[in-house]
Amino acid sequence: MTRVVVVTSGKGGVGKTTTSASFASGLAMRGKKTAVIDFDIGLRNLDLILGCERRVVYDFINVIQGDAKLSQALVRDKRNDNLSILAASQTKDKDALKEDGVKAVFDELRDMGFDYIVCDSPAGIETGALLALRFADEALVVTNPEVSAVRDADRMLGIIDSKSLRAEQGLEPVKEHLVITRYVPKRANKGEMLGHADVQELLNIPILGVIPESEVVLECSNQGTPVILANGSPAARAYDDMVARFLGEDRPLNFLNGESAPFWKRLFGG
Amino acid sequence: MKRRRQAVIKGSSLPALRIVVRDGDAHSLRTELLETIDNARPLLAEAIAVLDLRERLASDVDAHDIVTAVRDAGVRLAAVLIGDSGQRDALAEFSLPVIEAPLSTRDALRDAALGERAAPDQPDPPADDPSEDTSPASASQRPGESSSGPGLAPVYLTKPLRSGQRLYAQGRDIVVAAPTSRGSELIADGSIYAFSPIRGRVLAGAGGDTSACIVATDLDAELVAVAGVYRTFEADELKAHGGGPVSVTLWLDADGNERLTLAALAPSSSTQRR
Repeated sequence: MTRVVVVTSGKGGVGKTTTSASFASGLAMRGKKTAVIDFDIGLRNLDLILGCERRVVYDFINVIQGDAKLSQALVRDKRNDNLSILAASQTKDKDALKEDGVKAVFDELRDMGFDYIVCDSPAGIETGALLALRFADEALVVTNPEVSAVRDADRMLGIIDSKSLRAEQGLEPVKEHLVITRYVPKRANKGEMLGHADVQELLNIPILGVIPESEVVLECSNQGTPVILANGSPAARAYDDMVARFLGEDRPLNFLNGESAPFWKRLFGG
Repeated sequence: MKRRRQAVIKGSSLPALRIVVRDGDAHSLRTELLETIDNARPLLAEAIAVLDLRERLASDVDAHDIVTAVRDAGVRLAAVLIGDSGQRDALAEFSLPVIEAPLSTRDALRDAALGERAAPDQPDPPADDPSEDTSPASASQRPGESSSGPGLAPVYLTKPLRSGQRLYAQGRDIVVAAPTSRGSELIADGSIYAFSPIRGRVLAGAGGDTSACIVATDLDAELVAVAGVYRTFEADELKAHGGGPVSVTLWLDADGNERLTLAALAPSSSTQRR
C-alpha cells in the first residue's frame, strides 16, 4: 500500500523542503521505497537540497503533459537506491499543474511499488499547495515557534480538513503530524519564542518532531546533502527521531533543553 | 461527470455590523454618530455595514441627513433598515436597498425593559462595586426567554476550528468541545458554551437576541459579541481575569446603553453561600 505524505506549512521559509528531503531520505534509509515530489512549480529547490540538480532532465510537468515517461523523469538518489526524486519545472507556468495529471502520476508510482510518496508543498494556499495535499493520507505540518507561522499552519490544517480528497469523500481523515523547526530551547525557556508545548496546544495535533536550530542546515543546503545525513549534529538526530516516530517507534523528544534527554528518560520514555 | 451549475441562488445570513441610530438630541447626534464610527473604524473597514434606523421615531434629523453623514464618514453602507414605510421617501434618492424590518417582539420587550429601567424611581444597581457587573440587573432584563419555545439541539463542535474557518449555527446554540484558533469565527444565533479554549472571534445572539450569552471555561478570544455589541481584547487582557471560567452577557446600564459584561464564574461561590 502506497502512502501519500504531504509536507506543508502555509508560510514560506519555515523548512518544508529541508524537512521533505530529510524525511524522504530517512524513509529510504529504513528500506522504504520512496518518491519525493517537488510541487513548487517555477521555484524548484528540492533537487538542489538533495544534490541532484545536474541530473534532472525531465520534470513533473513534462510527465503530466506527456512529454516524458515517469521512469525517465524520476532521478534516483546517488546515496540511496530506495529514494527517487521528481523535480519541479523551473520554466513552466504553474497552471500546468492539474489534478488529473497529478493523480495519474500517483497511480503510476503506486503501480511501481513505492511505499511512500512525499509531496513537498509550495508556500501559500494556491493551486500548487492544494494539489500537494489533495491526495494525502498523512500530513507533516511544518512550523517555526513563531506566532505567524503557527497561524498559517493552523489555516493549512483547516484546508486539509476541508479540501483533501479524504475530507471530501468522508473517508478517514488525513493523519496530521506537527513538525517544529528552528527550535532554540534556551530562547523558548526564556519566553522569547513559543515553546513546543505552546505550539502543540495552539494547533492541537500530535508532535512528530522538534528540530533544533542548527548551522548545519545551511551548510547541508549548499552542499546538496539532506540534513539527516549530517552525522552527529542534533538536527540530523532530531530528523532521524522524527522518521523513526513516523514509522511507529516510540522515541522521547530530544533537544528540548539544549541537549538530549537524560539517559533514564530515554530508558523509560519519560 | 455531472456538470456543476455555474450560477445558483442560495439563501444566506451574512454577519453585518449595524450602525444603530436612536432618538435623542438632534444637535449632538451628528457628533456622536461620527465619534461612534471613528471608534469602530478597524471593524467597519472589513465588514458589511448596514444603517439601522428602526429605533428612531422622531424625525428631527432627517433620515436623509443621517445617511449622508455616515457616508461622508467613509462608511460604505450595504443597506438601510427601517421600522415602517414612513422613512422610505427620505431615502429614495440614495441607490441603497431599504429594508423594512420591524423590530422583533424580543426587541420590543427589551425596549419595554429599558423604559422601566430609565424610570427615575427605579433603584440603580448596587454602586458599591462598579467594576463588578451586577448579575441581578442582567437577569431582570431577560424577558423574551419563554417565547422561544422548544429550540433546535445545539451544534456540537468536536473538531478544532482553524484559522480562516467559520462555524455559524443558525437559530441554535453551540457547545464547544474542541479548541478554536486565532482567526476563526464562531457564530450562533443562540448562546455559546465552551469547554475548550476559545482564541478566535466568538459571536452569540447573531440574530439580535440580546438574552444570548457566552459561557467559556477558557476564554482567550480576539473579539466577543452578543447581539451585535462587541468588544475586542488585547493579548493577555483576558488572562488578567484569572483565566478561569467566564460569562459574557448583555445588560442595560442606567442610561439605557447596552453594555457587554465579562464576569468571572466562581464555581465554589454557590456552595459557600449556603
